[in-house]
Parts: sequence; C-alpha cells; structure tokens
Amino acid sequence: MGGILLHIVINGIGAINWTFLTKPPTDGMTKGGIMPALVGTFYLMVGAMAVGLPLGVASAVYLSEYARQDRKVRAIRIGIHCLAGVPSVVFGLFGLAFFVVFLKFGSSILAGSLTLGLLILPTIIGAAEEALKVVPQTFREASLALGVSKWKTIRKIVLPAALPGILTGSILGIGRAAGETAPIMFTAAAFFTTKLPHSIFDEVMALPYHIYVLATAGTHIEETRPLQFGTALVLVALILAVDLIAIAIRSYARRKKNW
Amino acid sequence: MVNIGTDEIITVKQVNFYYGPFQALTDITMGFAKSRVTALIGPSGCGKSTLLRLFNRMNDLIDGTRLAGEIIFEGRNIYADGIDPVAIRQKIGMVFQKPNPFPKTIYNNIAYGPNLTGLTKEAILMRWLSRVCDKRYSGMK
Repeated sequence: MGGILLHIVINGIGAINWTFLTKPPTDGMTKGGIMPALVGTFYLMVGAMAVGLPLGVASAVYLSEYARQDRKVRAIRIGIHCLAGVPSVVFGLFGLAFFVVFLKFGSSILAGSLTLGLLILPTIIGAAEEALKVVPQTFREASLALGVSKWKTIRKIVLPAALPGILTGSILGIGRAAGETAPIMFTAAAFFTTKLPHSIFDEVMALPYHIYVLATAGTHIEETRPLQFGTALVLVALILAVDLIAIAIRSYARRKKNW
Repeated sequence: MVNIGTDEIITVKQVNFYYGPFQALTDITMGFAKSRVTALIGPSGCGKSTLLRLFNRMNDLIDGTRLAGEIIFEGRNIYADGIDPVAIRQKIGMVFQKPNPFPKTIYNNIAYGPNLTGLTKEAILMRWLSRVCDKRYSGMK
C-alpha cells in the first residue's frame, strides 16, 4: 500500500503544476492539464451524493425506525448487503441500459450521478442504519412521551443525533466511488472534451476514466506516462482529502457529543 | 387503593400485559383519583413502570407486546381503535426514572415539546417560564 503510494507520488509529483490543474489537455492529450476531468469528477461526486444521500437516509430510516423487524426486513437487509458486493461494472451496465438508453438521459452528468448514487446507496444505507442504531432509545421515548409524532421525533431528535455518523459513512463511500471507472465509462465520461459542462445533460471528463484512457487507449501511451502518474496522484490526493473531511466531521462530532 | 368512583381520571380494567411470551401484568383492576397523588409501590421488576407506561401508550414502541383489558381515561378506552397515541401523550405526561435531556440547549429542551406539539414558540413559553419564576419569588417572600 505504502509502496504503491510512494511510486505514484515519486512518478507523479513532477507532472503536477498549476497549468496541469487548470488547463484542459492539448496536443491529442499528450500535453496540457486535467482541469475538465477534475471538474467532472467533482460534479459526479456532488451528483452522486445528491442522489445517494436522500435515498439512502430515507431507506435507513424506514428500515430501522418504521419497519417491523421481521423476516421480510431481514431479507431486504441481506439484499442491500449483497448490492454492496456487486461489481461496479454491473452498475455501469445497468446505468447504461436504464438511465442512458431507456430514460434517454444520454451519456451525461445526470446518468453518471444516478449510477454512482446507486453504487454508493448500500454504503450509505449501512452507515445510516448504524448511526441510527446508536442514538439512545431514551431520546426517542422522551420525545414521544411529550406527545410529539414519530416523524417529528425522527426529524428533530433522531436524525440530528445520527447526522455526523451518516455523513462520515457517506463521504467515505463517495470517496471510494470517485475512483471508480467502470460505472461512469458508459454513463457519463467523455473521452476528451475541452469545454466544461453547461448542464446536467452534458458529458464530462472524469479523473479515473482519464487515467484509463491515457494508459490504454491513447496513441502515445509511453509518452504520457508522467501525465498518467500525475492524474493518478491528483485522484489519490482528492480521495484522501475527501476522507479527511469525513474523519474531521467524525472527530468534531465526537468532541461535541454530550450523550 | 382508591375506590372506584366518578372522580376517577384513569381506570384500569382487567389488564393483562405481555412482553412476547412473558406476562408482566396479571389481571390489574384499579382506579386513579383526579387531582390526587397516587404512588405505585413494589419490589423491582414487579411491573410498576410497565403499568405506568401503559397510560401514555409508551409500550406501543416495544415490538411484540400485547395488552388485554381496558384503560379508561376521561371516559374513553385509550387502547380503542382510532385513538391516536400522540394525542394521548400530549395529555398524559411522563417523567422518566433517569433524566434524559436532548443534546440541545436547556432553552431548546424546554421549548421542544411546546414547539412541536403546536403551541406557539416564544410567547406562550415565556409566559410559562415567568409563571414558574413568579411562584418561586412569591414563595420566597
């Protein structure tokens, strides 16, 4: 693990400068920067979060707060765990078949975000269920005993108490999804584009796919090695930064936690 | 024990209560007089809290519980069909064994119930608080 990281840093650090981060690729992607891919990955992460978080939290609230804990719910839970183990390329193909073709979103930020959102959905549901489980039962009882309805109790007491846990888990999930190539290569990623997207129906470049393209499909694979390492380093750094945000939220919540 | 009469606010009629297969309450029949303090006394685990929690339907929250019998409050069985437990809990309050404040400020803890059960925020709450404080001050004088 450390060796891989070191290898990427040593080979990639030379490629990174301001131009690399702020300019689109030029000269048939043998020179220039990765700005469109950086922006695209950012949009996809935000989009995936916008899709996955509400759906995932709603599912978790239903499963752990409303549903009777019977065989049916156990089966659903097992299904969700299995969904987390489905290879990401399967999500990609589903996204292609359903969002891109059937719903006619085309290869776009929207289709990619929906696909990535589904990919991280099991992670978010799992994280949210864990977070809801550790909210003390006495909080719920105290609120309900005041004559507050169940939904208001969940919204005002249970969810706020569980929020840091939900966010931490979800952000770690999105960090993992940001590095996925397979789900976006059919649904959102453009091979090459210099312009930034104007709407959610535009294609974008994305870091993992850009690495894949440079390393396998380009015409100058050997020449662009530094660019590949540079892009990989940026991607790793981005994911690390995202994970650090999650860790920061968790430690902040732990310090503030008074129950 | 209180005699069953017209001044009863809560009447318990032949209540049997089960946590799954375990029977916690067996054939309880008793009344609670209005505007009186009634104490339930007994060894631990004998069902005092279980009975208390039945009065504002807190045991509904526990999966697998079952109640037979009636609990009458203001002339109606609070376990009858179509009774909203939320409305019951707004009329029958409960103080828990352990204090359990929410992770909010004290003000928001106090304001929480009135706010979410439909009472207006500042005005009424302030009136309540000032009333409590006034009593204290007049008592001290």
